[in-house]
Amino acid sequence: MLLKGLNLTPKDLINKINRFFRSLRLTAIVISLLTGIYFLGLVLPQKWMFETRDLYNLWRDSSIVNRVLDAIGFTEIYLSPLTIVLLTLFFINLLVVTLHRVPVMLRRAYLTGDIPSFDAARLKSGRDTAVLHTEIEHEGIERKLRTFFSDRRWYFRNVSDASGYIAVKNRLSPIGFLLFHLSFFLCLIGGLTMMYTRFSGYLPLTEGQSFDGDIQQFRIINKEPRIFKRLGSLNLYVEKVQPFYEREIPTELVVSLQARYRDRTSREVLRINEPMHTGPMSILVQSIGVSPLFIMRSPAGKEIDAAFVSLNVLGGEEDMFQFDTDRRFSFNVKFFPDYVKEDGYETTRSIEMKNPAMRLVVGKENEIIYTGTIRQGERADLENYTISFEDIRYWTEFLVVREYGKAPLITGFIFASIGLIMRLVFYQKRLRLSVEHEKGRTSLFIDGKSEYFPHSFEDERDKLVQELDAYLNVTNHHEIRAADYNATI
Amino acid sequence: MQLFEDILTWGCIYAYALASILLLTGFIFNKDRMLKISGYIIVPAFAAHTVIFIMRWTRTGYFPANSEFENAITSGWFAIGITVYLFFKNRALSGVALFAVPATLLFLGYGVMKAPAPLPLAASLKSSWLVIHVLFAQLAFGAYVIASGMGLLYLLKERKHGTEAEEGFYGKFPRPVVIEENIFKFVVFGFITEAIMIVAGAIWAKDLWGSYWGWDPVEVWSLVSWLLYGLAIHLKVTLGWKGRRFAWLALFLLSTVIIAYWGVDLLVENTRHIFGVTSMPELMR
Ligand code: HEM
Repeated sequence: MLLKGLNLTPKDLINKINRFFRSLRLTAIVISLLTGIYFLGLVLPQKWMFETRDLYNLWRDSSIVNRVLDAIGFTEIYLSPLTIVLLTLFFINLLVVTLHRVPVMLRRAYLTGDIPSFDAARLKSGRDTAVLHTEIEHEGIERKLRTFFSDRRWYFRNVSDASGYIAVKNRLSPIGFLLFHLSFFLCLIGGLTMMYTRFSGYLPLTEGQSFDGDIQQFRIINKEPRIFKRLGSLNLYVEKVQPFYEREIPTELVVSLQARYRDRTSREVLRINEPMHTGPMSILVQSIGVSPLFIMRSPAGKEIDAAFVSLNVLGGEEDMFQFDTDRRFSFNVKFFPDYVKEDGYETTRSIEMKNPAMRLVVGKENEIIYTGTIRQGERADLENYTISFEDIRYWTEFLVVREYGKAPLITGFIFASIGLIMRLVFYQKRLRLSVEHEKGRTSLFIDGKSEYFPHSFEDERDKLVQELDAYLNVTNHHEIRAADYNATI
Repeated sequence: MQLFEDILTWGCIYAYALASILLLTGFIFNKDRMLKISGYIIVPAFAAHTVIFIMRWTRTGYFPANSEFENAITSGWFAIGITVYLFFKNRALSGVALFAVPATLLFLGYGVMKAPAPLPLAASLKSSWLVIHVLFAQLAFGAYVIASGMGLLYLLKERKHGTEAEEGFYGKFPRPVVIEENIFKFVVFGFITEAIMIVAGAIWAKDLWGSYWGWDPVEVWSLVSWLLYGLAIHLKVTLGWKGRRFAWLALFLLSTVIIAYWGVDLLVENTRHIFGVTSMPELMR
């Protein structure tokens, strides 16, 4: 057999694979390589940065390097085959190591089979061993020690032979390792679920307009789910959109609406940073613009079209629109929310809608037929036709997101935080104690160390030993005095 | 009010600049006195710094993290605060100042150059998750700066091993093993706070941008930096890295947070993290 030829039994092979995935060098290599990939993600042009597919193709075909980058998937680097392989290795490595360490960590936390046996003689001769003397007898000392340590929330218990004890602070800390490393899998499950169930799209609505579930109303759908494709019925009706400004900085945007999702109706007030979450559905306010009401009239004064036109002009940009009824006309618009004319220049005093005006450049069959500015209530003459600016409302663009997977993700976050703090803040400290009785005198030998910070622990240990000394001897004196007292009466 | 704040700010900058010079000369030429004098400058400067921090907070009513200047004030306050604390706790650790003070100086200088006047809080920044996010970012940043400072101190002291200077000038700093443990402590502190910062940031992002994670360059770099600090913890805990190697690592890793904060803003255009404030200048033109 092949394996025989390689001098490997299946068991050897499994061991080899196991060892490969258990190695911490693999962890170091994988994390370093992932870091490298993420770095490349920052410097290499990525597909999503190109406005259109054509621009991307143009870029790709412009050089051989670009074509190679495209071929190996580095233009979508966070999902490139190499990244996926590395992430898979990362998670297998993590799983194998963590599972392998479950018994080790449990043994450390529950102190089973994990305490190297120590005898009094060895402890006595240790370099860092503290020695205390007391007159308390054998039965008393264990009780005293137990109280002393449990008062300080140290776990205390006796080891193998009757004269040895161990005191442990933060005994359960090693469980934190398991919590933390396993939390990555919760985050992974959450993340993958989101990736596969996510729907997200931009939905612009003007004040007074509603959305009744027609997917055509979305301006862009940027992510469609691969599973759980049905969104569930969603209806929205926008009542009011109100932006607030302070010294030209948009400080708040308040949108009141009525929402109905899967038979649940509610009134909502959304703000930036305060979206609506119901179940897997989130609705966020993203941006606003204005929708002026333009009415077009024929030479006979008859209304031929009237519409709230959602424009993207609030930031000072220019936008354009056309009426469906008469496509010969095209309208280029610039908006002044608080119009003034200063030294012949048109500008706005502020960003608040105090005196709205529209600068129109109207084209008809490739010729400019009108240039001018009209305020609300005014009209412009376009040859025989007229267009009037009658009203203005705000529109707002919602980001509608439906995704599952929040529960495992958030649980993962919580486990990770608890695990980290348990492991790295409340790390284990251990003391070993051994008691020796000789000629009516009791000697206590103590040494100890902590995880991670053995040197800093020295001070803490010395202080603890001093406190223990005082504790044993003070109570001791009390007892003696009590005994003297009894003797006298 | 603004005038008073300006005076304090510039006072702080000059004091930190002077202290940096003294610290640098002190360390390079082994002059003890210079270090001592720098201590007399840093402590009052820190008091002024605290006043600026509190004034800003009370005046605007929100945690100061709304512009490069406020970020500098806040993170510098944490870095110097920890330095001063260490100084009082254990004089021997004062060497950290060699790193923390000039770093804060640069950060403050950069902030002042940008826009020191307080601005109204943009809607996108009104979130309690933001406060947690920024607070923990500052803590992490401060801790990593200190860890690097200690790394440097370790390397300087180690270099003099076996020479006279080890006993003399460097004698007052703790034993290398103790410095090493402190590097690790600050790395661990930074690592935990950075984890909380990332989690809080993700939760905030869900409310502001609709997704927990968007592979935004700043997000990616924070993750990279966190992973690398995690790697450093593994190297120490499980592969037993220590001594000079670990000190160099701590020093080097600071670059990852610097890139996350400054580098990404400078290098890449496509980030949704803008640490300064944008108003609507287009419209006002
Ligand atoms: C393939 C991935 C990983 C493997 C195989 C792995 C394995 C380990 C092992 C064996 C330990 C030592 C546990 C002990 O004996 O106390 C450890 C500790 C640690 N790991 Fe990981 N780890 C991985 C990923 C990560 C990641 C991504 C982070 C965070 C960025 C991380 C953070 C830590 C921390 C902070 C410790 C020290 C605390 C402790 O001992 O639990 N690990 N890891």
